[in-house]
Amino acid sequence: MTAPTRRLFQALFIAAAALAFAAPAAVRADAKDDGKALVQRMADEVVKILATQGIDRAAKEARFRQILAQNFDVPTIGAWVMGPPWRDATPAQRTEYLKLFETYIVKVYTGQLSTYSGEKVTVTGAEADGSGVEVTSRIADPKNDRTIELKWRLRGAGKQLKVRDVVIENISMSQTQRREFASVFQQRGNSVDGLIAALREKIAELDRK
Amino acid sequence: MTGMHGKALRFAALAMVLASLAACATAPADPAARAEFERANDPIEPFNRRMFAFNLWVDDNVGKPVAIAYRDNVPKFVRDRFRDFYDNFQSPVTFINDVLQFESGRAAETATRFWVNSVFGMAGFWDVAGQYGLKKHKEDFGQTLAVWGVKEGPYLVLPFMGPSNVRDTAGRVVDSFSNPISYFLPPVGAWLELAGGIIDRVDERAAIIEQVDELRRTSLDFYAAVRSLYRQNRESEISNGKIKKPPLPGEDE
Repeated sequence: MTAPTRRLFQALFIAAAALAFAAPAAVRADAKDDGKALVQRMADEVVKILATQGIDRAAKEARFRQILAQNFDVPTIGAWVMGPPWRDATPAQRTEYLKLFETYIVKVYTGQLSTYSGEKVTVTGAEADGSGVEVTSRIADPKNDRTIELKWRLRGAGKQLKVRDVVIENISMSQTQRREFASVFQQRGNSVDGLIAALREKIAELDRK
Repeated sequence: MTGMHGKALRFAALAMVLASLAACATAPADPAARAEFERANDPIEPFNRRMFAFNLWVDDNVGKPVAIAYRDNVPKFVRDRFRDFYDNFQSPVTFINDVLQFESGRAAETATRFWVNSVFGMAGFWDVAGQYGLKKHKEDFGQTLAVWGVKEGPYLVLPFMGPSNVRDTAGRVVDSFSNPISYFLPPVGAWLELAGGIIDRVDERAAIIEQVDELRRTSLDFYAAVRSLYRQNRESEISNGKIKKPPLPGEDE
């Protein structure tokens, strides 16, 4: 091995070691602040979209899709929501399902968010949550004179933290969806294709109205 | 008291019907399907789904229209006074269950709220104690049974009353007898319990009109979503919000 190559390998080794040790430590120290910043940024973006006049539903959904892809770990959530059938699903089924799952989530959130009239999300804190962070926030519900507590559970995905679950007043969205998908899977003859068909039908239905 | 006997009889009849139906359910043989069957905790699902559809029909034709009319026509001030009054009227039930759950701090809170609101809040029409930081909370006998270690039993959809389980159904029966005010002031108490209970239902329905519409519109399986929401919400109520973290995508089963 020539000297320059050896130096290159040494440099690479040092860099790899630095990444392996320093990076997680850095994430740990700043994770709470990163998590809070992520949730606040996301909430502000959503409020901005909702407040924009004359924006049609397709455009709104396109913006939400961007926000979702940037901040949510959609593949991990989607696989988990499908549950045990994921293990036996073919690569083609997985790809198709994840594509539909993302579209479905975008439509669900677009609908839910449209019932809010632009109340601000206030980030109230963050705490360690397993290997990640849980960010707590509040949103006013002026119609009912109360505040709703939202918790965002984040985990590292690559270099960035991403949302794995949103917990509204102690109700986990991922958990609810997983139970729902399990029920649909069963009704559709315990078949992944059946579940995919149900998702596709639901998306078409949501597009109609 | 005939009203209470009527209630007890209705519950007894219901329990018998349910018991006979429960005997018919069979678990699937396939291990994955069986695990799912057990997690759903719903051995009489076909019956529950029919009852759920019936309740939806009642809600479409009576519950929701009445709730919308109530929200649109009764001024918020009046709705708030009613809400405060009825919650104060029912707070002895919460007090009893605070005590039965050995929550002395929360029991003291409920007792203080009751006398402060009854005296200074004009018989409870104003939640004065709440304004001074003593926030209201609710407990019922279903939660007490859970704290005592009683398992929830199979999921049940009750006619008109909606999602429940065996434990919480038993809790409801006990709660319907356990308000001391109804014993101290028999005719007035019974009347308040009945009329108040109806307005309470309407008011609670009115608070979630858009949320229910939205969930029903977007869910893949509305029945399964409500079943899961009911269980999670009860777990939260039982632990007084100090719930252990739910399973997380990518980390748990």
